[in-house]
Order: sequence, then C-alpha cells, then structure tokens
Amino acid sequence: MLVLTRRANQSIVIGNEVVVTVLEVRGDQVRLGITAPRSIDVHREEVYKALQEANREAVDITGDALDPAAVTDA
Amino acid sequence: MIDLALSTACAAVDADIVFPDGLPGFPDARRFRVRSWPRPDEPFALLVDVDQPDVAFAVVPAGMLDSAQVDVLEAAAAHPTLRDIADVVVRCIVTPGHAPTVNLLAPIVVDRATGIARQVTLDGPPDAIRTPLAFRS
Repeated sequence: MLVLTRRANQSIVIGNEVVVTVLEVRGDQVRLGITAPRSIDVHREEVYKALQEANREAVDITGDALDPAAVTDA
Repeated sequence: MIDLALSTACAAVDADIVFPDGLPGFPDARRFRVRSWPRPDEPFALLVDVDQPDVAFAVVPAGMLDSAQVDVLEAAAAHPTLRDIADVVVRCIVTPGHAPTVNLLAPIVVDRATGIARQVTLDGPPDAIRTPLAFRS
C-alpha cells in the first residue's frame, strides 16, 4: 500500500485521470473529493463490499425461483 | 416477450449486453443475454452470462416497484456511453428467497444504442441494496 500524507485542500493524482482531494478534516472524519471519468466507478468500500455480497446472493436463483434450463429466449 | 425494452437493448445492435468491467462480485462476467421468465404473469426477466450460464440475475423494471423510486436521470448520468435519455433501460436486480429483496441502490443501466451496461451506484442509504420486493398495485 502506498501511504501519503496530505492536508486539507491537497490532492493525490492517480494515473492520468483520477484526482483525490482532501476537502476538509474534522475530528476523525475526512471529506474527500474525487474527480474521475464516468467510466471509472468510485465506491465507499463498505458499500462496494455490500454490493458484491448482494450480487453473489442474487445469482443463486436456481434453488428458489426457477430452473434456468426451463427458460426461453426473450 | 416479458421485457421488450431490455430485449431490444441487445437485439438492436445484434449483440450481447456488455458490461465492460463486469459487476461487483463478478468482474469477469461481461457478456449477457436476456432470457424470458418461465411464468409470463410475473414481470421478471433473466440476464444470463453467455460465457458462464450459472451466472444469471433476475431483474425487474424499477417503475413497477412499490417503493422509493430509482432516479432514472441519476442512473443515466452515471452510464459511460449513454447520450440520449430515450435509449436508457433501467432494471433492478432481485434476490429471491422467502423474503425477496430488490437492489434499489445499484440498478443496472443499459444503453440501447450501444448495448453497453453498467451496474451504477446511486446516492442513497446502503440498506437500499436489500429493499423488500413489493409491486405497485
């Protein structure tokens, strides 16, 4: 892991297109601004992990809703 | 057809629905096809990974749900190729079970013009990922 120290209003540049800026530091919370192209997803880590878990559960449809072998092309 | 709008998203370009970066939890799941739900009275469709048929998601139009609505404009703005709002198709992933839920935080957005899709994350509480499934009456 690359570790860098920044103050408020300082930034980090990742690659050619992603900029992470420390907007504000208040107590134990840091407000970050992220500039990135639309093609790059940006998530809070806990939300991303929750999405991964939810998608993995959702894909297990055969045991409950239906048997995919019984479906037809739309 | 159960989900004509979603079906034409790939039929119009005579190709698969493509997720360039996969989906969270399935980074290698890129090419999908739409399949009909076996019970035509239910408003679901299946998105099936062409290369991994075991990877399949039941999806439903957000507009049919009896709950806080998905912001279609916000969802469309998060799509990388979408140029015309008329080309947007928005569907929500359903997790089946005894108490089925629907993911309203991260819908699937498809650009009908290109067949490019993405599961976008909207601004909302994380528990919207598992909203109880209920349809508008």
